[in-house]
Amino acid sequence: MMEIQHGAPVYVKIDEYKDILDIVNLVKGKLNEARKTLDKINKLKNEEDSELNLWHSELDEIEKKVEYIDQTLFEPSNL
Amino acid sequence: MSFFDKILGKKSKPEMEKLELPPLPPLEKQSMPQHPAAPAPKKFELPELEPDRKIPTSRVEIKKTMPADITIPTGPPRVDPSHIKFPSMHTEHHEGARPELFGERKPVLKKPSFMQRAMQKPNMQPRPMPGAHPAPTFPGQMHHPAEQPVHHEEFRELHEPDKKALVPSHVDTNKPKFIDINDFRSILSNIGYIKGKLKESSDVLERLNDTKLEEDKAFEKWRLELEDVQRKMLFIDKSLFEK
Repeated sequence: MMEIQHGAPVYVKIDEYKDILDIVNLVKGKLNEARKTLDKINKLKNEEDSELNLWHSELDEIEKKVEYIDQTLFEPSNL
Repeated sequence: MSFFDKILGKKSKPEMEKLELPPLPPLEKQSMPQHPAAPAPKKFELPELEPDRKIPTSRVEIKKTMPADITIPTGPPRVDPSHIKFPSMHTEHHEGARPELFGERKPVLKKPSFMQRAMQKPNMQPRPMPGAHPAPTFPGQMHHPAEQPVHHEEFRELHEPDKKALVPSHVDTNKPKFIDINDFRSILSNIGYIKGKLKESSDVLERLNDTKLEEDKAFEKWRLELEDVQRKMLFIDKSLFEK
């Protein structure tokens, strides 16, 4: 019968130490790539937002011009 | 009702109801060219068969009906199958016969099939551990039978050059490594947390994909509307300035 010493440090053996380090390094590389891709997506999203804002303002301008044409054509006295 | 509605011919509902439908155009009868009449089909009459005539079925009957100067070609003479002697399938006969005909026969190496190759165990040698210290024994430690380590050969081949750089210089890789059980537990919990986050990321990616599809649909709809507006503006431009 083996004696059990309470409070003694317990260790776990790691068999594939090198492989684990390799995989951790690989995961780090993948995370780095993912961060770069996310930055690229963010940049594209910002460009898309700025384009949409521009289109929005242009649409407002066109709407105003059309409104002006409509009013002008239906009120010939102003001409 | 605005100017554009008038230009584009849009009318309000009561006005539409007041309008009468125009009469339908008269139907024009198109005269088709007359085709020439087809000739009457000829009647074919089959000759009547002789009542007593029989169709010969056997070779003897055919010979009787045929003229004497015509001969029916005959096939090879029949041989009793019991007298036929096939060569044995054993290799001795082939090896004896082939060299005379084709010269010396080279041994053909049979390529193992895919399944055989797949089932074949890799010839992996256990990794040498020179100078390895025996693992420390702890009180209460259970002794498990020796397990075969999992080899990631492909992984190793791919990442062999970077391997040395990964391991810290002060760490001897040949010695067995041990970590504190508390650290081990925290590593396991972190791995579980990362797995959960990866699952969440996958869900988010799926939602983003759906959003992207909806966005594409909205852009397409918007493009079509803009094209429609452009056509209408061109029509107005022509109506106003080309008269």
